[in-house]
Amino acid sequence: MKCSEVEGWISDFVDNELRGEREEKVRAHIEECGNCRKLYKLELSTKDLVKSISSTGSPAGLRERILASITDADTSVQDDEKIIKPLPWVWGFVSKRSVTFATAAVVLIFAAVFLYVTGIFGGLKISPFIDSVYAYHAGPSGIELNIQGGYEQIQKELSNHLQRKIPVPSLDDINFKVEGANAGLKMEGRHCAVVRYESDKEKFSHFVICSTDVPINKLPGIKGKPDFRYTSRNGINMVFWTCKATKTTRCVALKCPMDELVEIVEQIRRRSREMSKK
Amino acid sequence: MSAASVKKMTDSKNGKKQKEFEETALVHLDLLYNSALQMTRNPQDAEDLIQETFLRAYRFFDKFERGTNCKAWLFKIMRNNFINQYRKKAKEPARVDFDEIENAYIADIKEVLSDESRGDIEKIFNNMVEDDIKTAVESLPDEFRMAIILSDIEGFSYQEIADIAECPIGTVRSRISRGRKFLQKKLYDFAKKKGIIKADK
Repeated sequence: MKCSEVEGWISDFVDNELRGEREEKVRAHIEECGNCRKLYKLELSTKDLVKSISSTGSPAGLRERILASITDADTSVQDDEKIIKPLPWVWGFVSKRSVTFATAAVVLIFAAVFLYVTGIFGGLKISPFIDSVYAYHAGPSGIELNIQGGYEQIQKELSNHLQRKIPVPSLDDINFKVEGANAGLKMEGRHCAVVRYESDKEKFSHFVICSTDVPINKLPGIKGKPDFRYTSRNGINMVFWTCKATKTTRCVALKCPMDELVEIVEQIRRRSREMSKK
Repeated sequence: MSAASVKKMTDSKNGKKQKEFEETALVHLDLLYNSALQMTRNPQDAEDLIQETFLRAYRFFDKFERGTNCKAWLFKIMRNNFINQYRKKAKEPARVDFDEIENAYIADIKEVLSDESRGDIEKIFNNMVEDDIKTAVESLPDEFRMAIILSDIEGFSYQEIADIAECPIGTVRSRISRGRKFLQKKLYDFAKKKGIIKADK
């Protein structure tokens, strides 16, 4: 094994990630080669240094505060199971942005929602990891990934997300279903839609709120009557059409459970109504 | 059934759930706090992050597959929470040009390694004070910092980190390897500044 090759494996070697022949070769090389041994020692001490800054234990009382908060959670669920809790990040999102919304002409918040759903709307099963929000902004305050690659990027995201479970089919194999409840909804000159990714070959579904350059009903593939309708628990009517999304349609993603999705949609609509009044 | 007896039943059910949660999840509190502190760089934010993480974990505890790695599950929830809540607030360090750093690093470090008169690299690292190390770690971009913390402090394997960060294992490899180079470069610069390493002969 050459030095340049060994250099590339040193992190893996230090982290005990190499197996079999490669591990042996790297080990043998490090034993023989003084320079690589130094690099190895350097890597090892770096790892040890990081280890050394780990603090000891959590602050006093934190454990008790956590226990108190979960007891509270149990009580509030009992008291009021049906109420959808306000979403702090949504409020923050809207209030922080209100100035930006009003002033900046180019704030494009591309929001999309991944929902990990098994079955169609019958039994919603939501993974605990999907209920967090991944907001990808093209706007000035967005520090998250900025997805500008259109559906290819979304596909990549999906693939990252699902790679250990299901291979993501090619775009041509995916039907896009566009939700019509937001048809015509304008966000800074753009339109929003909720798109459901679906594949007959693979069993998974995702919801994505996306912004498009054209009104929803003008999206390619939107024709005639919707495929089906769905009314959410808090009364938002969603209408789905089958449609083929264009590759130029840009969208970005939020991940959240159905409750939050509905809440987001509602927020966006409210926001949009306020905007149109002005 | 009276309201009181319903309440009693729910209470005992919740009591059982809480007890299991304490034994399975809450035992990892110290470990999680540790990483939360490195991620948020601030004790108050770390505490908030931890509280939210455990609250969320508790809400979804029914969905946790018993017998699987609870620690990794908690870290995954924490990572998602962190990205959603704190990354927006936290001041993002300036974008790091890793290629540039890598090149500069390789030149510097190779020179040091090949010239014994400048001192032993291990000795240099042994002389590092905790604050310098912390500053260096904190200056890493989030995803790199997280990968390194999960690997070096928490002892997760690359595959486990990939699961937690929801990214391919190759990305984890690269983040750890490049993140370490970045750290070495930073620490080397600190040492140079403090005169532990002679800048020039």
